[in-house]
Amino acid sequence: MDFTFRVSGMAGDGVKGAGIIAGKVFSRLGYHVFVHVEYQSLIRGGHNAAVVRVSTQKLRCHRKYGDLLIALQDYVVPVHRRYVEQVLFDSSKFTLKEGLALPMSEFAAQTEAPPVFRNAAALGALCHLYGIDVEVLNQVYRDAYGEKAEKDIVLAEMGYSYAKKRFERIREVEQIGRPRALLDGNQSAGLGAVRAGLRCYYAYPMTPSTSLLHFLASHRRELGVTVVQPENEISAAIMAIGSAFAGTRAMVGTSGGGFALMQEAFSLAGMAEIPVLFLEAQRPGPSTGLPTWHAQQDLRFVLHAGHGEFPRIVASPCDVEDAFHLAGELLNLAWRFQTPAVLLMDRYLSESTATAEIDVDAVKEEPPLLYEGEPEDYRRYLITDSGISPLAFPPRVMLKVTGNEHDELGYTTDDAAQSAAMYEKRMRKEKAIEEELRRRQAVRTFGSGRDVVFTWGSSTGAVIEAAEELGLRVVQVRYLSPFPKWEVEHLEFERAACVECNYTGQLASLLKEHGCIEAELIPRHDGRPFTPDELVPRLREVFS
Amino acid sequence: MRLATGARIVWCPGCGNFGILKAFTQAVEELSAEVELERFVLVSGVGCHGKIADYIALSSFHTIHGRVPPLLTGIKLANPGLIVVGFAGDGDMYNEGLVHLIHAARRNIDATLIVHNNSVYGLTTGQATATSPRGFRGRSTPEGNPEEPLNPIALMLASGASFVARCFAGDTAHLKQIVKRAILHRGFSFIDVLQPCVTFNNTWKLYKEKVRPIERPPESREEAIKLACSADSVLTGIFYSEERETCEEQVRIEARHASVKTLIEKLK
Repeated sequence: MDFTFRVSGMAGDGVKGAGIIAGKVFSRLGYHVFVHVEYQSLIRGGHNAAVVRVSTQKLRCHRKYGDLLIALQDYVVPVHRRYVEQVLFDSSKFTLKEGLALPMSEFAAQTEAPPVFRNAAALGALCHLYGIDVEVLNQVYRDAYGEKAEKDIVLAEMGYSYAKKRFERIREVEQIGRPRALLDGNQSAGLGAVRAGLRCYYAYPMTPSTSLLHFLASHRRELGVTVVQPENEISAAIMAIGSAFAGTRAMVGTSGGGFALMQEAFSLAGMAEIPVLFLEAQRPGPSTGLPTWHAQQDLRFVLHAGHGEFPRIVASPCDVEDAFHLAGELLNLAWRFQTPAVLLMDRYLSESTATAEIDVDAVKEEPPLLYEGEPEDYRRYLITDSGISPLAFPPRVMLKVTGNEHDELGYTTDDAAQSAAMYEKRMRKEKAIEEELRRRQAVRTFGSGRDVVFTWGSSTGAVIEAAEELGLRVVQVRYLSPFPKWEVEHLEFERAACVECNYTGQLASLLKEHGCIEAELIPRHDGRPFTPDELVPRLREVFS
Repeated sequence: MRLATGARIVWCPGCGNFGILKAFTQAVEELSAEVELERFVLVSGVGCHGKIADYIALSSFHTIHGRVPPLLTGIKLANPGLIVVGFAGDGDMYNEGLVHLIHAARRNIDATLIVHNNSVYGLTTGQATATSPRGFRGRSTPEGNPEEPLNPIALMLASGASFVARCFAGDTAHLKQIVKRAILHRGFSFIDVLQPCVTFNNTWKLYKEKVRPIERPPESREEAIKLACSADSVLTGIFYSEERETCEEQVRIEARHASVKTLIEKLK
C-alpha cells in the first residue's frame, strides 16, 4: 500500500499542522509516513501545502500524484487538481463543480471555534475516507493539545459523521503494526547530537534550520541542553566556541546566509582547534534567494568555508535516521579531532517530517583524548604524530588558547619554524580523520546494477525509488570532507549520472576531481526537491 | 609579578596598557585569598590590548576582533564556576563588535569587561575609532575625523549594564579597586579605561588635566545617564551598579531529566 493526499490553503490555515496530525494518524497505525510541506515567506495569505504519503515501505520522499486534495481555499484547487483523484473542500466558503463538499467553516462556527479549527472537520472526514476509526484521530489531538483538544475532537467527529453519510470510502486502512515515531530531519539531528553529549545549542532563527531551535528550546529541560538565541549568527558561533573551550559540547544551527556570517568563527575553530558542530540547512541562494524552498547549493561553500587552511569534517545525511546518526558521529568526531564539523542538511530533509526507526543506542558520547598528566606540565598544542593534542580544561589546568599562530603552550608566536610545525600538526589531523572515515560508512550503496547514480543529501530518497524502477545502482556520498576518494576511485560501473539540486553539479565536479569520474549531471534548481515521478524519465534519458 | 609569564612584553614604553596590566594583576592577587586563581579565564580581542593574554599566567583565550563578549558568555554558560574577564580595545569593542557589547549588557552574563579605550587603532598604525574626537587627524582621516565620538558610558547605561565604571590607566590604585569591585559584582560589569597611546594618540597630558573622580555617585540609572552625558571634564568611578538575575541563572540547564529514548516515544 502506498498512497498520497494533500492539504492546501493559505498561511494561517494550519496546513502544516493538519498535515502532521494526519500523518500521525497513519504512523500510529504502523505505516511509514512522509510529510512534505511547501510554504511561502509570509505569515498570512499565499499558498501553503502539505503532501502526506503513506506506505507499508520505508519512505524518504513524497510522490506528486495521489488520491485526494483537502482544499481550504478555492484558489489552491487549480494548483493541485491535476495531481489528485478527488477534492474534499470547504463548501461553506466556496463551491466546486465536482468534489466532496464538507461545510468545514460552518461546523467550526457551530462549535464556536476559530476558523482555523475547521481542518479538524476535514481530518475527521479523511478518517472516514480511509476507513479509520475517528478515535485514532481524537487520540492524536488529545496527545498533542491536552485539554485544549476538546473542540478539535468535536469537529473531527462532526466531519467524520457527515462524511460517513455522504462519501464513499477511498481505501480501507487497517492497523498493521506498532506506532512509529514521526519527526523532521532537524529534530532528528538534534537528538543525535544530544546522544553524543550536546549540552549547549546556539542559534539565530533562519529557515530552514529554525525547527531545531524550537524543538531544543521546548525540550531543553528534558534533554539537558542550554539553548540561547543570541543577537546574530556571529555571536552564536563564538558562544559555541566559548562553551567548547570550557569543555562542553556545543552546536550551532543556521542556513547558508547565517553560515556566511560564521566564517571568521569557523576559521577560529580551525586555528584554535576547538570542536564545534555546525548544522547548515541549505536553501536556495544566492543571498536571500528562495527562503522557504529547497536547494543543495552550499556544498562547495562549506568545503572551502573559513579563511586559511585547516581540516574540517563535513557530512550530509539522506534521511531522518541518517541525520540522527551523522549528527552524533560528527559531534564525536569533532571532539576526537578537535576541529570544526559541518552537518550539511537541506531544506527537504530539515523540514520534512517522516517516520523513523532510530537506533538510539548506536550513538553515544565518545570521550576525546584527555590529558592525564600533572597540571603544570600541560601543553594545549603538544605536537604529536597524529596531530591530536590531549585536552584539558580550566580549572584543572591553565589553558592558553588563541586564534593567532602559537607555540605548544598556546602563546602567540611568529617564529618560522614554530609556525610551520604547528601548521603541519593541524594539517596532519586530516590524514587521521581520513583513516577514521575509512572505517565508517563514508558512502552508502543502494541496489545493484551496472550503471550508477551518484547523489547526496535528501535527493538520495527520490533517486533510490527511481533507480529501483530502472534497475540502477545508487551511491550516496555521505562524507564530503575529507572526500572519500578511497571509496569512489575503484568503483566499477558502466555509465554514471549525478543527481543534485543545484546548477553547476557540485558533487559531480568533486567526483571528477577526486575519482576521475565523468558523471552526467541531472540538476534541479527551481527550489523544489526531486520526486521519483519526475526523476524516472530524466534517468531513462541518460541511460537509454 | 607573581602572575607573569615568560612572554616578552612588546607594548611601546609608556603605553597605557602597562597600567591596566599592573592594576589587573594586583587586583587578582588581592582576590586570590578568596578565589582560586585556576578559576580565572581571561578573554582578549585583537589589537595591542589583546597581547595581555600572553602576559598573565591565568587561563586565557585570545580571540578574534570584536568577539570578546559572546566568548565570555559561551564560557560562563558552560561552566559558571569560572570567573571570566574580558579585555577589549575601543576599535575592537566600540567599532567591530559593538552589537555584542550592547546585548551582553542586556543579557547580564556574570562577566567583567575591561575596555582599553585609547581612542585610536594602534596596532594598525593610527586610524580613528568610534571614540576618537571629531577632527582627529589619523592616517585614514588626513583632514580630520568627520564623525562624532561615541559615549560608551551612556551607551552601556542605556543598554542595561548592571555595573558601569570609568577609570584612567594612569591611576592604577583606583583602577585596581574598581577591577576588584567589578569581578565581585554578580552580573555584567563594564569598565571603560582611558588609556593613552604614546605613539598615535598621546593623551597623558590631557587626561592628567581633565580626569577627576565622580563626586556624588548617582542614585539611579537615569541620574547616571545624565551624569555620563553632561560632564565636560572626564569623570572616573562607578556610574551605576545594581544586582539583578544573571543570564546563566536564567537560561543554563544543569542536568538532563529524560532520555532521548523517552522523547522519541513521545513522538509516536
